[in-house]
Amino acid sequence: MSQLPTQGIEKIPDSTGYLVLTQDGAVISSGGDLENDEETANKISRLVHTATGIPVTTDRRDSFKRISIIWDDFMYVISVSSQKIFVAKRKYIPQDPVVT
Amino acid sequence: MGCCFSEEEEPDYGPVNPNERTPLIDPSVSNQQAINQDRSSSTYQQPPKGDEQSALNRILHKNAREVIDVTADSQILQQSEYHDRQRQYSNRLNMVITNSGRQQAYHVNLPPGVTSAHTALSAPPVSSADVQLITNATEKAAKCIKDIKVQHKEDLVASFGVP
Repeated sequence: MSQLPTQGIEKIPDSTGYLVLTQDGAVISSGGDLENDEETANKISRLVHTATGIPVTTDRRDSFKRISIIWDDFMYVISVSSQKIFVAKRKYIPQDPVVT
Repeated sequence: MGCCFSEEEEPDYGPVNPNERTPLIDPSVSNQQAINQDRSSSTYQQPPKGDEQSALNRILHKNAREVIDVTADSQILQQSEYHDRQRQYSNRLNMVITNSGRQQAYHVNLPPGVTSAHTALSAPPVSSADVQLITNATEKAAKCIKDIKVQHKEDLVASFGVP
């Protein structure tokens, strides 16, 4: 499974698009809403590199597992695995009612 | 087969230090060949004029002149030579990139990340409470950053020995 360039992210049930990027932001694979979307790819690549520099715990070796960019009805979820950036665009369904 | 032949021929007309700007087909070489063939064709043609054989010869030579023989002109590279050049060119490219200040975008390594991207990306979204929390926190932080003011206390430039 890890041999696949997409690691199967195109099969996520509520996904409407996906991107797989190299370390420097080049698109390896794409599909759905994000097919050949290099503009989004560039933005996400920069975002990931910025996020890489932000410590999440006191141990500097620790880094984020997933970044979620959430809009009202959809979200981008971003993850890094084996020196590649994986992005999935998914419908956003809030998990629980908003507590204010 | 053509490999051995062209390797022996190479030092005669090939450039001493081929680099990334060396044309694969040396224009002077192909011109020379064309001229040589031109001469030979005219001498061959002379004796039996009007003959079918000479007409065919003429067509053959005419075509031969127009054909660019890539195997004879281009340099055959050995596998090791490919790697050498690859290294050499990527070094040069890196030098250019470093000087142009784009280094950061290309040399920052990604964190090791997760073992399975699929698992991480298909997990349920973060809870609304968490989203709310982070939204409030960033709003407060943004407000604080806006409110930062520099309080002037003393001159930043101090003068020494000036009366």
